[in-house]
Amino acid sequence: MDEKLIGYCLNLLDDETQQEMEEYLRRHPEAQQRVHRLRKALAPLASDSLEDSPPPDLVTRTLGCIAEYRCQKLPMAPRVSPRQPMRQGWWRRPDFLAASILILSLVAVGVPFVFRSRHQAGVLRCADNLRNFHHALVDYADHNERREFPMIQENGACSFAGSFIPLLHDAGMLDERLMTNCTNEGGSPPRRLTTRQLKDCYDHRRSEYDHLTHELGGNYAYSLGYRQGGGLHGLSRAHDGYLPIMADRPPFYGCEPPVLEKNSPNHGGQGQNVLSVDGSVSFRKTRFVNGDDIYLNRNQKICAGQDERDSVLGASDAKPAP
Amino acid sequence: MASTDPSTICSDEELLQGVSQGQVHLFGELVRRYERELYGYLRRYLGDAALAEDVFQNTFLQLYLKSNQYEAGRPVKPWLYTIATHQAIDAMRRQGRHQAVSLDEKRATEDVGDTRSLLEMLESREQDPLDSVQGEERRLRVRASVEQLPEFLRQVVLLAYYQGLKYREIAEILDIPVGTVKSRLHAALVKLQQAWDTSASPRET
Repeated sequence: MDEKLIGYCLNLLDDETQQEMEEYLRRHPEAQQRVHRLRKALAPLASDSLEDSPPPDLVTRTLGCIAEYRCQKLPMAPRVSPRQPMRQGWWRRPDFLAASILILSLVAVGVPFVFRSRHQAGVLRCADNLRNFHHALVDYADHNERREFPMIQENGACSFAGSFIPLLHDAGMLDERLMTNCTNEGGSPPRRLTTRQLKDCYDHRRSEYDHLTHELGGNYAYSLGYRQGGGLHGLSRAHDGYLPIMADRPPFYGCEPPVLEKNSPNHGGQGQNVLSVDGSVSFRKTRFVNGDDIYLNRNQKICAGQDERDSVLGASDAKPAP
Repeated sequence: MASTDPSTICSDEELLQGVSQGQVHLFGELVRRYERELYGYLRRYLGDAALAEDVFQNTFLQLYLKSNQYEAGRPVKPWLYTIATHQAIDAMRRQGRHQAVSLDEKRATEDVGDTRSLLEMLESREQDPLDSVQGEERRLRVRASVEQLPEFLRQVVLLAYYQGLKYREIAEILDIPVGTVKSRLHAALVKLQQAWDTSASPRET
């Protein structure tokens, strides 16, 4: 009731609830007294309610900043003067030949260039996205005593790689810049699901849960942890900075037989972005980091590493247990 | 009769919808509309005028960049505040001012609010602690007490009290359940009352 009375005093309730409260207060004089007491207690806040005025040219400068960005982003096309009427018979056969050769040369050089540029833009966007993920992972780690990154569990609802997304969401670290489907063609945001909702699916709607295990991690791979002293452990900020924690997804899902040596399909099979514990992102043309296959453990299995130096980053549905 | 610019009578949602469809000139009206309110929020949140200006500009740049993702009818105000809050946190993080509070500490702080009700606290009080303090001194004490709140509680006080947003909108902005907003606000108000009690007591004795 306290929260409702506070909400009523500060006008935080929806219109309907506000009206219900008014009705309630009309019938309960003792509640009116409490509202009066609350208003009096909150009154000091009003002494600092005067807003600071914005600087006089803030709007102009903001719009200028956006215009500047637009100019950089979308350069104006040069104005083309109206075309002169072409004289009939001006084009001769050798001209056609020369023009065709020129066009074919341009296509031969230009098309791969366009594809390459697009590929590079996709790789850079994905690397940027992984850096943003690193901010979220570090924030998560800084909010627990053992400074652990989200850890995939051995059993239960959070026992697949993609469950790091709901773990981040629970902790309020899933900000809107993050994308779980990041390819050369663009990206899409992660599904905002809490671990409670995930557990509910796990307990009562298994087919939906199975679908979520494939979907939540998108086209990224996340650390499945490693075995030590008979237990499963996750990575923490105390681990070596070079250890991979997240990357483009492997060329196979957790439920599929592993493929050796092939790169992630995210960037046309040419390599994968790999995010390390220290926040660095590198585009690697093979899937080996310091001789370790980041997608399989030393036994070439899709499961947790055999020790902390045996990194295994699993696709969304991959599990730490074989 | 003076003619009215049609953009001034459009809702925020209509303006952003227009921007997303290429009517870029409508964006200026949106910036003007939120100039005072959003700058005030950022100034209070960041406690630094220059930083608030930068974050204000970045917020609208981000909104502009995301305008092509705008889904018709989605309320603009909470979205704008979400972007502004994230930008502010990023700016503080760059300056090393962002408070990293452990989840355990967060829960513990919220629990304090739950165990001792604000109203119970007020009922046992004979006199309001800041009654004897007026004017600028009162304002400064109040501001200092709000600034000393843990960041996750201060966010809720700023959005609820100073920005006048609804519980539901705050939940959307901070991406937390409405129940958490309520408990955080309750905890924040308990802490403020305690701070005011403490700051007033030496003068009374």
